[in-house]
Amino acid sequence: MSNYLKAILVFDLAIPALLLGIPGISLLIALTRFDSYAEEKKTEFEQHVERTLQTAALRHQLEPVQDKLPLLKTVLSGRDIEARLDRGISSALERFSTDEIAWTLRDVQSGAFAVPQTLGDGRKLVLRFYSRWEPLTLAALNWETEQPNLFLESLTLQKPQGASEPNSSYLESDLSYFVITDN
Amino acid sequence: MLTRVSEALSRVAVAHRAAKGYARTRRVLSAGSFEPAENQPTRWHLHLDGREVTSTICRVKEGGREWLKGPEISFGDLLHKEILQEKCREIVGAKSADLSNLGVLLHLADQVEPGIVLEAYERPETHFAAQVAVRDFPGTVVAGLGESSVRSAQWRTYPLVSPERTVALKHELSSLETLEHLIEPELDAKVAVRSAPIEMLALLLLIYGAAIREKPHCFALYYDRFTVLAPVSNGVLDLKILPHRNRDIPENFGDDFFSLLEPLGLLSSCTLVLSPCGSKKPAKLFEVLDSYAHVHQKLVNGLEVQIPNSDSILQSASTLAGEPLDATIVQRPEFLSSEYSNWFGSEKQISFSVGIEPEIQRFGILGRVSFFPEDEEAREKHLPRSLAILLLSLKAGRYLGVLLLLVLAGVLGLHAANAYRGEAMQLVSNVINREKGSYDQLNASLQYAKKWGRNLTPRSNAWSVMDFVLTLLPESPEILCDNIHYSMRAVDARATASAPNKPGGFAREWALTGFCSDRGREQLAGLQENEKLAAIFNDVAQRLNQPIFAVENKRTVKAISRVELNNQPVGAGGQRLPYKFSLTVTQLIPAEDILALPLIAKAAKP
Repeated sequence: MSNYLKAILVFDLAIPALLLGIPGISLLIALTRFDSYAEEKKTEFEQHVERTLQTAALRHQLEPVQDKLPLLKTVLSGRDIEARLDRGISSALERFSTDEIAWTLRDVQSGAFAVPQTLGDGRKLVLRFYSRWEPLTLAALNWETEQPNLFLESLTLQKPQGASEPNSSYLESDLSYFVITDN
Repeated sequence: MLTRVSEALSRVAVAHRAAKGYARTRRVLSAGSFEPAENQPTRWHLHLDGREVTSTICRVKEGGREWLKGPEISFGDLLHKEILQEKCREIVGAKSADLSNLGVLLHLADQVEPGIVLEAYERPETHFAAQVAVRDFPGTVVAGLGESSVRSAQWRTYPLVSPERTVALKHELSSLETLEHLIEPELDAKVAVRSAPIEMLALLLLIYGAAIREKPHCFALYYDRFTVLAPVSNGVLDLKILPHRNRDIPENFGDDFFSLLEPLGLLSSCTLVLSPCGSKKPAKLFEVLDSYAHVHQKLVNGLEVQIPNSDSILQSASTLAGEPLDATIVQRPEFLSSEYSNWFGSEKQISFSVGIEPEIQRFGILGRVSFFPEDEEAREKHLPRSLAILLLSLKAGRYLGVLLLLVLAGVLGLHAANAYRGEAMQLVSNVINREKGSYDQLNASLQYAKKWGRNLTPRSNAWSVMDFVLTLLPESPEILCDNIHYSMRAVDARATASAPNKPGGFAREWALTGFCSDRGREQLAGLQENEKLAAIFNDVAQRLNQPIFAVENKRTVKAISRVELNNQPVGAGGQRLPYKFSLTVTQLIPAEDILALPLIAKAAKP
């Protein structure tokens, strides 16, 4: 190989190829990456704009329930549930005298909901009262309004066994609730 | 190792500098750049006889050649690079150093020396191999030279077809260094060195061609320092160089002449042409021959002597050229054999046919053989056009590459500018994240509210269940309930097994037992009528605002009552009532109902 050819291959091909190739490839990579980055940012921006609109729509949708949401969360919270149930029921019973309604049993057990695969496993509240019809209805209305997470699974009303007064208006009532919680 | 690499790189760098000099764009694109000296637009002919230099310029102009007097130059000037370069520049008329369109043709007649060709290259047919070998290794072709060679002493071979032998001639190139300076890349003049006696012989063969066919001729080319004898019959029969050795004529001219012609049998019929090629007239040669023939009693009756003058040769050449040639300008006939190569035919390669015509052609070609070194060193120094084009193309590629880089950089800049002008790039990721967080929280809240709000829709409450019982069987003496049981259960198998994502339907059931009279019995029977029962449900739904009671869509209600005689002993509850009854009321909420129980995958609180 002649010296000229060697020189041309070294100085006019190899070195320029390196000197131009490296920055050229770097620029190409930079351009490609920047385009991807810009495209990503553009998509991100479009998503952001869309999300902003959706957020506004969500706020609008949430407006009617916004105030109730903390209460809903509190009601559905599993924390301190037994005490809250007790307080709710006691509060409902406060309006009545013990002659009208007497709370004879309160039990909380774990168990599955009567309709499987819906509300799943949870707590069951079992209550027993000795009362007349109307106070029981009103009291139940009261605590069930305060505690909308109580789902009545069963209710039994019957004349007390061995009552001394056959025509007595008192009833023995057994209520079993499934307590809906969010956890 | 490092030193060797460095040296090699340094060598390559020097070669590259030289290559760049040869591969200038204008030079590569110029048609004549890679052509020999005689094809350049301007040719400077220099004839050197050892003392004086004859200088003439021939320029190509439209429709022919233009002959001009060349700049005055002495033999000493030829040895000075600067002076020679200056003269060249004067001819070209340019201030720049570029002499690429100038051909310098040096016709040497200062001295010529014959050599004995070795047997291997003696036959004319070996001419092509011989002319290559003699350039690189003259010792392999010419006897007695040894292995070493001097670049300033150049040998060339001349095949003589008639006698089937080859002669070798040597010219000394005293001005080689200055001539090589002219071909440096920065000057780029083209140089050729010709043998003046061979050119002259070629021209004489051409002029005397017709006469030679009739009668053998012997040409005596009378230069100042030597005389060439060339007997020609059916071709050149020999080529003898007779040096003058500081005399006006060769020392033993008569002996040499007769010893050359006698064996060839030319003394009986031959024309001797005493051609004046130097500054002296050849009459003295004739006198020497005449006295020699007289003294040695040589029979020279058949010998005819012609002594043409320089002007007559130029006149003959003018006739051949078809244009008037001014003898005072052209000065040397040797210049014409270079300029009018077409006189000798169009053949580029010599042929080995015998005869005058082939000989004229052959010597026309041999007259153009250059004594300028064309050895390996010279060939290495010469940048071929292909490499020059390659170098230029790569240079263009380099510029293109740089341009491409700039374009790429520009495109990148443009993309960046465009991108940063828009809002997308200016949006801080914190804002996006905040908005995203806000969106996620709101969405989770909404999902939570939807999910749990729906789940908490009243479906089964004690107060409404009890109120329904009162509506179903209002207080009356005709019916007395002693036990009420309400429960709920799953009914839709699809919701519990194969379609776990389908909300679950359920059934609510009221089971009542007690006592009744005949009227009570009728009332109970009436409840089994669906319309009546549905009306009761709908009434409760409306009155209590409890949609779960409404009988709509695919919801169904059903009542089943059973009445039997009261066989209990008197005194038991309902003693006055004759019948015992049991009533079961069922409400079915199908899986597809809006109030069917949804499956709950308990989600985290927002």
